[in-house]
Amino acid sequence: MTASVQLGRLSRRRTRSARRAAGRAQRVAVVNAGERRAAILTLLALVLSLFGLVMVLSASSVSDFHQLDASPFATFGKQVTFFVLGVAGFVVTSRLDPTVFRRLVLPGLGVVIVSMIAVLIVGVEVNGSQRWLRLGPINVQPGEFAKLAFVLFVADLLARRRHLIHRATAVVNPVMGVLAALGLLLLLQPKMGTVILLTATALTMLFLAGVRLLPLLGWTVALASGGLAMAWASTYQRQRLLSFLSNEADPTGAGWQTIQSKVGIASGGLTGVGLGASRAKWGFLPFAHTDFIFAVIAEEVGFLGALGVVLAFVMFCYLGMVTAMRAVDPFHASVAAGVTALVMFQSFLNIAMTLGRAPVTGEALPFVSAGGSSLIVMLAGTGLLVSIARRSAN
Amino acid sequence: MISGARFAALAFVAVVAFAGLGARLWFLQVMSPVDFVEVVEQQRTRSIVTEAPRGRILDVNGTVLADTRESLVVTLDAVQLREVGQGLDSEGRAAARAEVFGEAAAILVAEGVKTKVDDLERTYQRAAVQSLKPVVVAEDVAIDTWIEIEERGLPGFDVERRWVRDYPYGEIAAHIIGHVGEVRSSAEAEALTARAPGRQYQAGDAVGVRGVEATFESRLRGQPEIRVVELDAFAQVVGTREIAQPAVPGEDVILTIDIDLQNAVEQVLAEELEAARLRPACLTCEPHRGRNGSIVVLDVRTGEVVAMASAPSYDPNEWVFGIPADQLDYLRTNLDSPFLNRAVSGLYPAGSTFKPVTAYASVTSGARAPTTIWEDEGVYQLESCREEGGPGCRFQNAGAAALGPVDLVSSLSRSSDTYYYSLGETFWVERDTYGETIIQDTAELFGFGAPSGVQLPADSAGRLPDLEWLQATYGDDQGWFTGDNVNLSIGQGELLVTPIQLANAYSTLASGGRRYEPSVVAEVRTADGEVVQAFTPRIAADERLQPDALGPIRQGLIDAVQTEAGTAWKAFAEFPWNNYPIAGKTGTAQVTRRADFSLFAAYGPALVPEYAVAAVLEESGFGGEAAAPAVRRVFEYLAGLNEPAPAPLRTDTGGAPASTELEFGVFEP
Repeated sequence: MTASVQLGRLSRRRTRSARRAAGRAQRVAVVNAGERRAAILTLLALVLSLFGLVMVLSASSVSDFHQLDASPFATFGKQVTFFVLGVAGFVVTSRLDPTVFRRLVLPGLGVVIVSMIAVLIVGVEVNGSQRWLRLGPINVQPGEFAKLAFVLFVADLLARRRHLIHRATAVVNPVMGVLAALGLLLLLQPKMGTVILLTATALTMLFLAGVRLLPLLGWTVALASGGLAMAWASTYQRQRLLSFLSNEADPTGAGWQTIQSKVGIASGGLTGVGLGASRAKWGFLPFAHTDFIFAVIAEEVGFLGALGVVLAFVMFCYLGMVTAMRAVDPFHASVAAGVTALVMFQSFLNIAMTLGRAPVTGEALPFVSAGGSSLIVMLAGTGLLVSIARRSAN
Repeated sequence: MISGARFAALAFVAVVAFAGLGARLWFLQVMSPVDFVEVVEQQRTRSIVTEAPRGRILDVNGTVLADTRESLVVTLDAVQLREVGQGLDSEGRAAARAEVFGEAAAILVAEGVKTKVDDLERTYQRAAVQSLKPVVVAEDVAIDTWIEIEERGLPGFDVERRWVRDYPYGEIAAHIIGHVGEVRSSAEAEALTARAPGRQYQAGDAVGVRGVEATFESRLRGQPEIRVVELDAFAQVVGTREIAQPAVPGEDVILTIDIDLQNAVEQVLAEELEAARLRPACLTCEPHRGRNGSIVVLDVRTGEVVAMASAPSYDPNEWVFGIPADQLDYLRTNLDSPFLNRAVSGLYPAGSTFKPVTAYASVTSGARAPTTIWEDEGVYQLESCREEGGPGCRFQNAGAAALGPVDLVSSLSRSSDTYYYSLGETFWVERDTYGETIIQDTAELFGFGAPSGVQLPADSAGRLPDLEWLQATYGDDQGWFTGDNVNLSIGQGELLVTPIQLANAYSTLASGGRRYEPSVVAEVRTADGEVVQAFTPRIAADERLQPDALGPIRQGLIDAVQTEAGTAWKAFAEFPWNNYPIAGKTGTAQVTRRADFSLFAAYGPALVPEYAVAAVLEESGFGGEAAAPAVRRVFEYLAGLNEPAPAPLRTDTGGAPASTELEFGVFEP
């Protein structure tokens, strides 16, 4: 059944691309569909990252100058450095067959867990959360790298045990075990957003890999209620959750960010107040250049620009999922699904949070937000996607 | 490997989720709920209201009497200083403050401002109690001082640009000009703004509180600038969004007075009061205190106020930065009431200056012809109670002097009281013929009993008593008796007039019936010099007085000055009244337990009158003794026999109010 659906789709796709190819036959050599997806994915990641750089400059210069008494370009400069590092990571991952990373899955997971433990002991505390590890001149967030390591681990597991896929315990239990370990370490930082993200990504990967629905549904319900219960137990999380449910209840406290974010977005209108002209960033909206960069985007370039960003993410996720579909290797397929799920959930969570439709969790907007670890991980992840796309059947 | 159905399911969920985001974005941005936009406006903008420069007040020649200039002032903020040395006991705080004051004083002294640590401490104590906006400790400081103070960052000290109201002539014409004070609270500011929309007041703004500054407040203030600025989250101004209301400078008010003549008249008043003080009173009489008085000079032809003096005066400059509390207390409790503009608010018995009113009533009513001779015996016994012979029935001339036979003319020139006593009695006894209030009705013809209409605050109506007033004041069981009418006939009893009413009454007499509302303001001009309002002669009443009554009355007033038997003969000795004849009437008002008030009202030249003058010198003796010589000297200026010297500019050019000496001597009981 699976094959027939695939064939049907393939044939339609062939006809269409053949038609298109015929139209351009004189000018362009026929390009493999995978190559084209790879190119578009690369382009989307680059455009989003470069647009992110512009917005980071716009959103951070004020607070740099104002609060840190630093150069207005301090954050921007750092972000450019990370972008360069991220591009380097992208070049490496996009050239190598992702299969080479299968051997590094367990050591990688080990390094991530060790550094996350280290974070809790010697980490740098910023804004009440201990998430950063000082590595020479730069601060690294192991939590970001945990995302990629976790996706590779789950993909490897699913590939190795694909024959046991119908025995839920065989694949789901190890995944949940590692997820529990990582989740515990993340909650101690605390970083609830990443836990949600990893859980959703894991469930998506398991779902796409073909795990039976009933146990998956059971796990989903169990994890969701467990997560809510834990959030309720922690004062910090509870406040954020409550302020999400009614941010007008405490407009100067926990609800402040969301209100300011919405106010900034509202003043953007259809076409925005103009690049650089945001007023939210003048100290009204905390974390304007990181977690709430989408609010600044919406204010400065308006509904049209913000919608463009949303569509770019939709496009990216669509191509990522198609890449997973077309992958020739089960590991490739799961990695592609995992990376895409990461981007999809993270971008959704961030934008929904900015629009006041999700609790404030502190997850960055992929590619766009200021934040070195996140940018490097996202670009490296895109590299994996590109590599897989180029190695896909068609 | 991946099931198409599961892919499709995931894609469906994802598409719905992201479409939801797009919809939310559309709702927030394009539907643009109004309340969000309002929130933005509220928290990111603030209106800053800045006063426009206040209009000037000028005299008739264009000499500036009240000016507005921009000044760099050093201010002291008591609220900030209160926090100096926090956590210490009161001595420790005082010491910490003294240290700050020491540094501040050092800077100020180095810049040539005379200040001491004690002065600053006193200023602080005062400001701490009144808790207004920062008070000024030094004005017109140099830019260097500014830099120095900003650099030191002394707590509570700041330098700012302020509009400063300046009264270059100090005490001269202070009662006409008035002064500005501070709007003391936001509630007061709101009340003022409600009265004058578009003239937004804020606490600390200048507002006219006395004189023309008060009556022409709406003209002088101008329209403040309202600037809408954008703020960041730390309430720091990021930039200007718009000027919601541009500043319009206040309009200039041009007075009718000439400052030099005004000064001369004030000098005359002060000197004659001093002369009265030095003149001994009779042994059994109250001593001549001679400290207070007023002179009003009106132009008979236009009703303009030519000069208006009220003694004592005060320096309006003291109010510009908030008056020191000790001085304010002194001024307020001072029995001489320096703030009182006696010309319009001083209430005096008119005394014999009222006699022309009774005389006019007698002739016009036919009660007594001008030529009828009345035998003045010095004492008048009421006909109605001659049998009883009690003390309430006996009225006498001043000193009980018998003047012999008098007609209307000589009754005025020699000031016979019994002539008028008898009229008073006749009017009341035969009230069926003359009406109950013939004297009051005639007085109203001359403007008594109603505010003069001059453009000054507290323009009093005086008091023109009748039965109605008596009952309203003392109870319904009171009645109007013959004695009341007798008292009224010579301007005594319950009758009270203001100097400007008196001057205006004599002006009416001089013009033959045209009464003006006196004007102290000639016109109002915009800052560019365009006349926006002119106070052309404002006629209050234009009723021709009857010539058969007017003739003898005028002759009586002329004779009072120009015949040897006249009560003002001595005062006007050697006055060239051949060239400049003067008609006038003395008045000596008796006040319980105080020396006589000296009054004189006159106009001149007698045949083609130009000016009417009224003078009241409190506790200074007979009318011919103190007030008449004062009016003579005023007429010397008016007739051009004497040139007024240029009014002196105020010598004290500011500085710390705390170090200013009291302007008035101590009141001796």
